[in-house]
Amino acid sequence: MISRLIAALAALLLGAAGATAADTPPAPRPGGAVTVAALANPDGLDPHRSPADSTFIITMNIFDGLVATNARGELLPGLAERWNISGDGLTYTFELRRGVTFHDGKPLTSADVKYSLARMAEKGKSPHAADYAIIARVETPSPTTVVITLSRPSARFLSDLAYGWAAIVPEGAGDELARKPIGTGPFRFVEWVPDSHVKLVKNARYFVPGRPYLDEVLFKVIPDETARVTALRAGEIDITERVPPQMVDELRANRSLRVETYPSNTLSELAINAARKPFDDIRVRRALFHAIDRAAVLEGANFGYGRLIGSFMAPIIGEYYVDLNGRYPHDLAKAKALLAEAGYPNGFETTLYLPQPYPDYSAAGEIIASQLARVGIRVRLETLEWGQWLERVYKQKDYALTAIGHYGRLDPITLLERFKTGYNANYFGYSNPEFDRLLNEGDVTHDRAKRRAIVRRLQELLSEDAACVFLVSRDAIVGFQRDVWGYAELPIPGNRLTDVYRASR
Amino acid sequence: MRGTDLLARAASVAVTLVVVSIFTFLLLRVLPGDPALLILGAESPGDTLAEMRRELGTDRPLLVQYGAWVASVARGELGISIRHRQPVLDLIIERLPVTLSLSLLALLVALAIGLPLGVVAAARRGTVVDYGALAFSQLGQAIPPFWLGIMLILAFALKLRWLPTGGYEPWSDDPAEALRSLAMPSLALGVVLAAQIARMQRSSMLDVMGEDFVRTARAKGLPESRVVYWHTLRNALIPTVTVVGLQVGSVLGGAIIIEQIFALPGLGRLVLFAVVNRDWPLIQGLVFFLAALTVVLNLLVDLSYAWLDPRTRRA
Amino acid sequence: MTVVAEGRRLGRGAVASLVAVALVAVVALVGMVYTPHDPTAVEIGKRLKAPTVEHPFGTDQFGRDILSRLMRGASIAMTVAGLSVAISVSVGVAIGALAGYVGGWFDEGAMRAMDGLLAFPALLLAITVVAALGPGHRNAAIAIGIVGIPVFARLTRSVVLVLASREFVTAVEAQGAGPAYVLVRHILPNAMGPVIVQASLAVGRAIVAEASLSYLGLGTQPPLPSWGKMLQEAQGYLSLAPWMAVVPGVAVAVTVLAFNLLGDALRDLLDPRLR
Repeated sequence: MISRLIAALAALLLGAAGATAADTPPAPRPGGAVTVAALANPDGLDPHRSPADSTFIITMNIFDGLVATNARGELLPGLAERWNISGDGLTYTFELRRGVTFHDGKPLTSADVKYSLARMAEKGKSPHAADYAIIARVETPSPTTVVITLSRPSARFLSDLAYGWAAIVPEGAGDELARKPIGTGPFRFVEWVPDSHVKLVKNARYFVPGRPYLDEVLFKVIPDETARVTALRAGEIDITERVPPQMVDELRANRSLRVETYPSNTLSELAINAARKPFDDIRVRRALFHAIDRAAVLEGANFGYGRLIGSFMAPIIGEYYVDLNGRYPHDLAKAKALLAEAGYPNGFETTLYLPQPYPDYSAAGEIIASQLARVGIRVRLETLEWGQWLERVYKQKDYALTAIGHYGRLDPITLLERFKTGYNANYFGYSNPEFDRLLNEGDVTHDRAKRRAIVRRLQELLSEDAACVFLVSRDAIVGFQRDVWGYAELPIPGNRLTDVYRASR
Repeated sequence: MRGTDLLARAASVAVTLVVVSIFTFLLLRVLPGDPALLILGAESPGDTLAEMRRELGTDRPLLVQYGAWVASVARGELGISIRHRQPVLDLIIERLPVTLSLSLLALLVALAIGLPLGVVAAARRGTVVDYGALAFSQLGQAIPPFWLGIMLILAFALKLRWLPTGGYEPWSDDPAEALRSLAMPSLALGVVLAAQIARMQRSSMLDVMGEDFVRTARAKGLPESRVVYWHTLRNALIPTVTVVGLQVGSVLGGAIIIEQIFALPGLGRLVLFAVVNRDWPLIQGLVFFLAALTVVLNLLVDLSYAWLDPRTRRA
Repeated sequence: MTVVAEGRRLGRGAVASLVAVALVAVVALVGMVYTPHDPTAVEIGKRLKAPTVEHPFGTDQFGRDILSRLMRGASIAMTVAGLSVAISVSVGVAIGALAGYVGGWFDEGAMRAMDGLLAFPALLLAITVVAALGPGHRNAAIAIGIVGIPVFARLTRSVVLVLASREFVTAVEAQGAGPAYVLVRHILPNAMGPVIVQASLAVGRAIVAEASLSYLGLGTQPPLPSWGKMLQEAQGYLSLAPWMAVVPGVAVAVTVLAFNLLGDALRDLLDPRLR
């Protein structure tokens, strides 16, 4: 009561003082409900069986992992209160929190963890099975102790337990989870009406005291961006991600709304197939880098909301990030000279694939095509539906150029593994023995300083080799009703509303 | 006589459905893209994919796959959606109310605008009203429904802020909101049909007015309004009903794009979802379902002639 | 009295529609070789500008000139429509003529296949065909062309059935002319009237269909400007740049209206059955 009074007074005073008043969060208070826009109908609510963000945005509120993370990407205790890693880096011992129960009332035990880990690693069913193939054995010496033995040391393993797809589910839950998820998380599942909404209510017995603040969360499926913005304006929804950048100014002019931008752990690039002529020639790849006005791409595709990246790492990664943006300045003469040197004084013809579901990557591709025309590279654009994109680019690696983006990972080595020679997800045709050697070194070492040096060198190699034309780490643009606070952007796919609260009502 | 007619009609409907099923199946076998890859996402290694393909049955010969599908359709099932992991029929039933509401409201809009316009235009032939109706019917047939939809959004949602730009409220939640959410979509979808109905109704009214029984009615001294609005209208409805019947397919097809513009969670969005996600059991089931629905609705329209025109009843 | 008055009115309509079609054709032809600005050149600094003298219809989200895109879009719309109607007419007339003239099992089979095609909602069939072939304006033309086949097949068949029993045909046949000769020289030319009428209306339908497919992202691919694609892009900027949405829609409506009116006028000229 008193805190609310103080908050109100503070708001009043600050309001008189200046326009920034609205941006000062009032004190949290429990109660209330929010409606969140879901960008797509979830692809099922089973965290172990879906590759899609649309699932994790919801399921991360229903489930917990052994390990949790925050906006800075730090690894924190989740369902595991503490853990211990053996000297050889092979054995991980987790002590579970006591007194945690699932939403159906059953207590959490080590058997549930063992079941969940097995389910995450299930080949042919779990999209992330490969990440957990390293688990050799899981033992449960007591109901609150889990011992995981790896087949080889891996410094990234702990971070692999913090993603939305590493959720702990009740033993024996099975495929029912897709329609009726049961977890230990801050919110309990109530109903899912496909293509309409998912409803969650507060888990009163959540293990973090005083959380969550909200009594109820409704995810409303609104795939169309215009419709989302209108719904926000109309007060039908309280939070929406992916506000179209061209709408930010207009929404900020609306006094009942707030728009926040957060740096995100995402990367976009012009992917180049280095296994194919003429892109096997490093001079051609470097020419592309010089020919593309990346600042114009950031402005045109993202309306300036984001940062330019010079290698395959988002600035949000902090200590591991190195700014390599200065390596290839926008310079048409230089680009032409490099092309001439490589034997293409008059440029060449090529094809650039645009991924149909992503308007910002497609926009980047269109802008780039127009820019490359200025150095004589004639680009044919082709829009591929997502299935075709995956098939042609990802699986068959049968492409020349494509504009695309990736969600970052918590661990820099996990992220950079994509460029390892012969790696499944390396569709760039990139191969550099020095890169591979350093990557393996970085994967096994737990020495933080050594790891940092390796990761920085890896980024430099990608930049020197012009493995891609690295473009933008876009900002996450989120729109709120003015009284909704406590939202944070996590550096992994999905999000949690544990700390979100409503200041009024 | 009528019985055998009906039987023949039913037989031809059955043959059409078989043809439709073959077309649907063959068309989709040519679709590029591997469903297994889509389900598991891009990060999956090869052996995982092979396992998924076995589970889906996409590694079997074509004829076996067709046979299995026809057998499941005969059992009243339409297969399992790859992406939703739910029976296709359940998905269709979930979304059918939206598309049906939209289509029926569009039909109502079309009749409410088209019929009176056609009748009045015929009765006041050669006047300004007639020319106005003519202009409406020409323009209505030329304006693409989805552009009309966008213009309606611009006017009523963004400028005037009377109606939502999109989204759907179920009837069970709030009928008034449901109507509000469907107002612009059904108008956008209905205007083309209204234009066709107005035109057809006008010309068939003019035809019927020249016939003997109308002249007789006039000669008997019945008031002109009664002649026009009762004797003529009922008989002149037949060609209009034919037009409506022929347009069932185009209304359902138009609903696909209108649902996309107004973000309505109906069958049209499901079709696009299925196409974009290469969910072939879903596309196959949906395309077959919609084609079958069109065929059946056409049959119903045929049967309604008998009610409208006593002459065909006697024949 | 009225008959005369109506006759004159239709005459005016025919002239007006011809002028409008000619105008669209000229814009489309010019658009192939000349546009005031490069319709695909991106200039971020000039994006979302309201109409000015330099850009009479304003610029789009990439700073491209909308008038130039509209003109090039006209060429694409007409190319796709022309190609698709050519497919519908050639395949449809061939099937219909053979079915009507040969009769028997071929007629039965062909007509059942046409019934099957007609059972699909037109846009749904087009979407499915494009999904199978892959997006792009050529494939869109093929899809729209396939959708239009049954109309021409049925029309031609019915005309052929009527003509085949006419005296002049039986007379030619009695003189020993082969069936192919009779069909091509004596029957088909007489069927051309109604086919031309339908073709004109089919152009209008094809233009709307191309715009619909492109709106859904399945038709013409960027950076080529298609009216449907322009409308789809405009939807994201409705409150910021409404001109982006108004201009291409008017272009579609005017073009379709012109071809529909032309079709009506041709019907009065060429198709005595419907008079």
